[in-house]
Order: sequence, then structure tokens, then C-alpha cells
Amino acid sequence: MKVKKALALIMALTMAASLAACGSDTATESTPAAAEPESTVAEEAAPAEDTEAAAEGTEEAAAAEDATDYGGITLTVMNSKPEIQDALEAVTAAWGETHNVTFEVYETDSPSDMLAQRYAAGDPPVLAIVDPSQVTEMGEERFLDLSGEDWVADGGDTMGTKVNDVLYGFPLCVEAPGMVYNKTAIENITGEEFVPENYTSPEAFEELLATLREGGMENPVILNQEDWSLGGHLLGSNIYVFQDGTPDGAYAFVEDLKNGADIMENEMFQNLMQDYDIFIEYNINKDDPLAADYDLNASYIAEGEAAFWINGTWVWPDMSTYVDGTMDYGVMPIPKTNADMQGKIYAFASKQIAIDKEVATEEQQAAAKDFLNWLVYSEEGQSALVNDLEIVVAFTNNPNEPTNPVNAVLKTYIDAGLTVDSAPFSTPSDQTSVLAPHMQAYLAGQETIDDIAAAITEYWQTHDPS
Amino acid sequence: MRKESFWTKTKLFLIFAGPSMLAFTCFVIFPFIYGIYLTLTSWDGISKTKEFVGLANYITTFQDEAFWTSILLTFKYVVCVVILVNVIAFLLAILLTSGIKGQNFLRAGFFTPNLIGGIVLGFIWTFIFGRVLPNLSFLESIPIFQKSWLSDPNMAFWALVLVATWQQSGYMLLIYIAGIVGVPKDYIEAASIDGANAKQITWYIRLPLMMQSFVICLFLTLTSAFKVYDLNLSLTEGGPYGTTKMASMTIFDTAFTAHQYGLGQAQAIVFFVIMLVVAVIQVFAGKSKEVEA
Amino acid sequence: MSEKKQEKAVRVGGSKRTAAEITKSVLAFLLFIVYMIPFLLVVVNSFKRKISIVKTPLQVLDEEGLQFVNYSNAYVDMDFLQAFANSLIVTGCSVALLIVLSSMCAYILVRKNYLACKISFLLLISYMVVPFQVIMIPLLSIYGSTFNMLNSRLTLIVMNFGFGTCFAMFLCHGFIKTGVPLALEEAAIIDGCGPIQTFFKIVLPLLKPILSTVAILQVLGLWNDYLLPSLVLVRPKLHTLPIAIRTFVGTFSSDYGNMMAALVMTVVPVIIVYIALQKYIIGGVVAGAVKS
Repeated sequence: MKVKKALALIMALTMAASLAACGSDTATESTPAAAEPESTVAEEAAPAEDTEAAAEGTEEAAAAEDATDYGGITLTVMNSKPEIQDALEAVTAAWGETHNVTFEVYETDSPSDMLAQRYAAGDPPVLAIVDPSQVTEMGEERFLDLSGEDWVADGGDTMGTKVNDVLYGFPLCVEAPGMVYNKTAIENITGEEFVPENYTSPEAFEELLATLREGGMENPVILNQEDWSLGGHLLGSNIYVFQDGTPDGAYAFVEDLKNGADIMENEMFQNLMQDYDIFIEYNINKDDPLAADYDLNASYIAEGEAAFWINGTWVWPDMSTYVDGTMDYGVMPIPKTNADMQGKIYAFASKQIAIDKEVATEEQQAAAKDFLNWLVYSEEGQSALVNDLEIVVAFTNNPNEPTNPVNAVLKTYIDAGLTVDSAPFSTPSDQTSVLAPHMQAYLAGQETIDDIAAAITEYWQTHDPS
Repeated sequence: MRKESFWTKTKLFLIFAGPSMLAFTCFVIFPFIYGIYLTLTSWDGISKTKEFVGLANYITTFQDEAFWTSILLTFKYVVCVVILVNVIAFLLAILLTSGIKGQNFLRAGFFTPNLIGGIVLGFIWTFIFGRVLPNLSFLESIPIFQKSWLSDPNMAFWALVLVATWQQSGYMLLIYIAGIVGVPKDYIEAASIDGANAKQITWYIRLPLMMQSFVICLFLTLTSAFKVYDLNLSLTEGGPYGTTKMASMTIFDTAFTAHQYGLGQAQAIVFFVIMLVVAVIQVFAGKSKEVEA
Repeated sequence: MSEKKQEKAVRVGGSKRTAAEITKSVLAFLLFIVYMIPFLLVVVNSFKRKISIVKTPLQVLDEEGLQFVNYSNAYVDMDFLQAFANSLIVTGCSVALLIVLSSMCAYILVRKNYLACKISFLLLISYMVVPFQVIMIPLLSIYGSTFNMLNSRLTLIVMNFGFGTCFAMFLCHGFIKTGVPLALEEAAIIDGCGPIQTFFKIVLPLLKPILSTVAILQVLGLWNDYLLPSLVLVRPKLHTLPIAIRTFVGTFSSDYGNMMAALVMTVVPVIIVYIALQKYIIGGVVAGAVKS
């Protein structure tokens, strides 16, 4: 009895192992991206044999006459912007229904790791929503050349991520690091209308902060402690991009550092540290700055306990929890000393959609491209981007107005041409993790400006921008 | 015993250990060997080409100051955690097998810390260190409670040790309890008939007979403390300003954030060898004690 | 039984004994509270809105009453039943394999002095010091890229077994060595039992305390495991509970109310399993067996 039981178990184990192997082999031949060993029967219906597929999809095809029928293929989507997950699932499902496509959307908060793992596993997503740096790193080897798409002419060219002049990224949304402000809270103290254009220099800004302090708002600035905020945005987006607002300026800055230039002499570095000192002096979290809590910070700005949050336009979903509708908000650039750079905000396409060229079939690629086109040109697609995903679009032909006040203000900067961007300049992916600790140590009073300067200089001796 | 033929031996081994060894070989040994090969390349973890670079990654590893700093920190952490977890778990195990009222219910309580992981763990403890402790009025006069533990490098380290102890002692408690109740009751009864008191029974009967539990628990706490990653990530993320980055996190960052997969893998192998040496020493030390008993 | 006996002993022992017992109980209870506080915080906050979780986490009740809606949201958003079923299948099958096959493996490694046994033991033990990151990418390349076995619960079960068997074997190994009397087995062999029968009839029942410990520890570990399942099961349909909880994690901030409700729903089954298996641990089985 017992012997049989034991043997049965061993048999089961070996059979299980071989089954798993066989099962997936059959699936591979049909649609690799949709390989799912446990339902081989279902998957086998998937390959695009026109007759079968057409028969299956007639009902849907009838519903939308001009929509191409993709014969029930599956498109996997890796989403690295968790706040749009639900809306994205709805939007893709709706498009999928009219085109006979099934979408599988999974989310991640570390696109770089996830994508590396998925490619290592031979199971990459067909559509990957990623940061520009992943497109830069992986574009040439893994992603489809999108240079020939229609939307390139309508904003894709300026905002999409390129590698050696070939476009691999579809710009999904435009975001800007800067100072999110509570307009109402400021006006309640100053008694006059808040005009951000009046506070573009560190001196003018500091004066405003002093006024607010006198008026009873003891510490009007909110400084995060997270490494992405201090190292990635405050440091990373100010000293490179704003050298002269062009990629050439950023490349030249790094090149000079490599050649022994003293970063302490650099205007943008001095500017950054001057701003940083002001922020630190007026920081609402100054008692214990490294214990700053992101959620509390969001509530401070939303409820007007402080006036400026050194962050960026992505904050709305996190602060809206505390918004009661009585206050008005906006976003403005960090103060600059250089007159040419004043009043300009760094706006870039922070999330890009790339299409896999390694494993995805031609049909999947075609469907993916079709979907992107629909987002840009169809009325439903345009509305989905702005009203459902609630983002600022990179495309000039989209007539919809942003849904939240912070994004609405960003749109005015974009429309007025008051933006700078350093693409295709991008820092290596470990810039933040290497340099942010120094910004944090400075915040805690443990390091000096010289330490930060030395760290940046040393970093660039062993790294190259892309 | 009677002699076994080679065939009998093979058959017995395959029936009993075959499935385990098969799965183990497939999922651990093969990937491990492939992993060693990767340390000899300059692979970035992404690209299709893997350039062979020989031992360059190992040389870089041995010269990498940041890596050795994190190893040292990990050692410090391991010592603290291993001692605290085992002392507390063992004392608790004695307490919870001494027949006090509601011991089963209490055991379940000590076990719950294991059930909270990841983001929630980070959220709850950041809150406790950052907002509960500094705001409790009776702690106000004590300097170490005036600021969040997580914003000071030294205190952040102790915060990690504390949470690890909180989490793991409930786990080890289970093994110690299994060890204590595993001591045959006859022995204890015999000893008490012979007039031994509770202390004597613990020292001369229980402890020697549950030596195996100590070896197991020490080994487990040692290896898991060495490998600590999740806790490190969710509680301090290596902060404040990179001062609590343990070995696993350093390795992970090198391999995945800095895109130097080959180098990260080489660091991991070096780290593995160090742990292996420590573990072997510990097991042999334990074995010698067992013999004495 | 044993508690009653204890009470009697206390009465007989007089006031000094009683004081000691009370001190012990109080101490245990205080420690219990300390250990439970974080979990209590999770439970309390799972009934609150995000705004009151962030602003007043210590407050027991939300101003707007108990937010049972967190539980229903979590249930729907994480596709709870599907994820629960996935977790149940994966954990159940993995633990079943682990208990039976690992104890068999431990048994032969303890009892036989073959070279293969010695080598196997050393290999299995040394895995416990391998950081998982070392084999993570190679594992994916081999079983994903080459054999295309990912996105299958079966693959995960077999992998869980492969990784967990070292630990389970290690625990059983120690226990068999000191806790299972050789005399019983010899008697069984003389009675004409083969090695397999001997194992299942004589040894396995004696292993109950350690096997329940192994079961609890493995259920706990696998039920809460995130990294390996997230690598193997990428399709949303196959997600286990810990992966599904990630639904509530945002880039910068998270959906704490729903997340904590989800955590409570995830954790309760494990606590039930723990309480159910407890009685096996408190056994003293070995002593009885030797006598008979």
C-alpha cells in the first residue's frame, strides 16, 4: 500500500515535470507571448489561420466594421505606471473587443528589473510601458523601430525616445519635476494674487517664503526624503538639463567634468545648492528631514499647511485624497539664477511605450502599432488618454484639456513653449542610487557642498551618459 | 547488519532521495553552475551578447570598498540578530511550554509577525519608529526616542535588528518548542522521581537532548540573517543615505540597478563562499557539542 | 490534561509557586502584546479610509465608521477568489510534496552511510547559504527561455519543492537522528517489513511533531512568498495572493486601506492552519512509541 503511494507520488512528480515541459512546447509554436502550458487546447486555437479566426470573430467584426480583426491574439502589456492600471485595463479591453484581441496587463514598479527578467525568461511583454532610460538601454536590441509611424509627425518625434536617431519609444505622457504649489494657501497670507512668474529667481522666491513665514506659515516648503526625489529629480533634473536647456549643454557639462572642470564653479550647480539651502531652511520636515513621510507631505500641500512641494506633476493621484475642493493648485519651475533659464520647466515624456521585436509575432506587432495609432488619432483614444488615464499627452493634435489643476498648469507651460528637455541625454540608471545618499546626507547636516561636488565629479569619471 | 549489494543501495537511494535530489539538481545546481559562468562575462543583464572577461569581475569585487563595507555591516547585523533571536526564542519557548494558561493562544500571537511582510511591514514600522515612539510622552525625555530611528544611521541599524528579532523569534520559537516537547517524557519523569528539581531537569536532561534544535535554529538564523534583503528593502531601503545597505542589497543593486550583472553575480559568489565558511564552522562546532551530550 | 495537572501542582506548591506562575503569565502576556501591536495596527487600519490611516494611524475608529468597503474593494480588485485558489493550489501541493519526499530523503541520509548520501547532504545544506539572487536570472533563462515552462502553477510547485526540500530535509534530518529510536526500525525489519514499509509504518508517524513544524513553516513561507511566484507566474490569471496585493501598491504612495484589508484576508487562513496543526506539535509521541 504505502509503497504504491510513494511510487505514485514519484511518478506524479516526474510526469508533472515532463507535462509542464511538453505543454509549453506546443504553446510556443502558436503564440509565444501568450504561452500558457495549462491550457494548451485553448491556445492552440490562437494561431492566425485566417479561416478559423475569421469565423470566430464575426460577431465582433460586425460591430466595428472598419476595425481590423486580429483573430483572437493576445497582447501582453507591462505597465510601470500603477496609478493608471485600472483605466488602462478598461481602455485596452474596449479596444480589444472591437479588434478581437485579448489584453493581459500586468503592473510593476521597477520596469528595469522586470523587463530584464522577462527578456531573460524569453517571455517579454508585447507592449512595455517603461521609463525613457529603458528604451535607451534596450531599444536597439529588443524594440521595434517606430520611426515610420504616422504619429511621429504629431509630437512623437520631439517627445519619443530615440537611440542613434531611431525612434523606439511612443511618448505616453508628459510630466515635469518642479514645485507644486497651493495657490489658495499662499494668497490667503499675502493677500494678493499669486503669480509664479514673479518668483523665478532664488532671491525673489526666498523673499516670498520669508513673507509667508511672517504671515504665520512657519515652514512653507515641503522637501521629500526619498532618493528618487532628491537624487533623481532635484539633482538629476536640474544640473544637467538646465545647463543651457539643450542636450548639447548637458553632454558638454559631463564632458567638462571628465576633463577636470571644477563643478563648484558651475553656475547650475551653485544655483541648485543655493535653492537646496533655501528649501532646507524653510522645510516643514526640518526637525527630522529624513523621516519625512510622503503621504503626510501630500496632505500638507493639499490642505495648505505648506505652500510648495518640491516634487512634480505626477502628485495628483496621491494628493487628491486630501483635496476638499476649496483650494487651487499648480506647478512652477524651481528658481533659477540664469535669466535664460528662468520661468522654464523641464517637461519630458516620462513614460514611453515600446513594442517588442524579439518574440512578438508580426501580427502582434501590427496590432500593437494599430492600438498606438488609435490612441493618437481616434476620438475615443484621445479622450481615453486625457480623461481616463488622466495624463498630459505629448501629441499636438489632442483637443482634450487636462483633468487636474496641476496638469492644467503644466499644459500652459507646454503651449507657451516654456519647456526644456535634454532628450536624448540620459544619465546611467544608477545615478540616483549613487548620488542621492549624498543629497540626503547634506539634508541631515552630515555632508557639505564639497562632498556632493566630489561625489558628482567622481561618479562621472567612471560613467558615461547615453 | 547484512551487506547490501550495489544495486540495492542504488535502488534505496533513488526511491528515498531521488525526487528531492532530482528537483534540487534541476532548480538549484544547474542554475548555479550557469550563474558561475555568468560571473566570467561582462554581461549587463539586458543585452544579448555576453563577452567573456575571465576573472576580471572577481578582481573588481575584491577591490570594491563599498562591497566589503556592506559585508562588514552584514556581519555585525548577523551577530546581533543571531544572538537576540535565539536567546529570546529559547526563553519564550521555555515560558510557553511551562504550562501557563492559554499557551496555545499565546503561541499563535508570537507567530503573527511572520505574517506581515513587504510594503505593509515597511509602512507599519516606519510609522512606529517615526511617529509613535517620538510622540509617546513618557519616552520624550529619552534622547533615542526623540527622532525617528530610521533617520539616524546607527539607530536605523538597530531598528533593522529589532524588527528582524521581532519577526524571526516567533519562527524559531516553533522549532524550539518542537525540540522541548520532543524530549521523551519518560526521561523527565525518571529524573523527577530521582529527586531532580526543575532547574536540574532543564540543565541536565532537556538542554543536552535538544542540542539538535539549537544547531538547527542557529544555522537558520545565521543563514537567513546573512541573506537579509526584503526587510532591508522595505524598512530602510539602505538609508539613511546608504548607511544600512547589507550585502544582498549591494549585490542586487550592482546586478540590476547599475546593470553590471556579471559583477553582481561575482559578488554574490564571493558572498556565498564567505557564508559557506561561517556555516560550516558553525555546524561543526555544533556537532562536537552533540557528541559530548 | 496537562494544564489541570499543572494547576494542582500550583496549589500543592503553595504561594511561592503561585507567585512564580503569575509572574510568568504576566510576562508572557506583556510580550504577547508587544509582538501583536504591529498586527493589531494592520487590523485596526484595515477598517479605515486612507486619509485617516495616514493622519491618525493610532486612532481605532474612522470618523466615518468602520470601512468594511476596504474588504469588498480588496476582494474585487485583487480578484480574491482566483488568487486564493492559486495560492491554495501552489502552497498545498508544494507542502504535500515537501513533507513526504523530504522526510524520505532525510531518512535515507540519516540511516545510510553511502557516499551518495554524504554528498547529497552536503549539497542540500550548502544551498541554504546561497542567496536566491545568484540563481534567479539563470533559473529564468533555463526554464523560461530554453524550456518555456513559465506561467504554469505546476512549474512553480515543482520549483518550490526543489528549493524547499533542503530546509525540510534539514529539519527532519536532525529530528530523525535524535528522536527516532533505531530499535523500533530494527524490530520492524525483523518482523519482515521492507525499508519503504518501515519508513511509512514506523518512522513517518514518529515524525509528526517535526513534520507539523515543517508544514507550518513551509505553508507560512510559500503562502507569503513573493519573489519566485512573481517571476514564474506573470499572467494576471495565475497570480497568487502576495502578487495580487501588489495591485494596491503605487509608484509613490499606496492604497493602504485596501492593502491592509487584503493582508488580513491573506493572513487569516495561515493562522487557522497554524492553530489546526498545533496539537500535533505538542505531542510527546516519541516517548509513547518507545514504551509500546
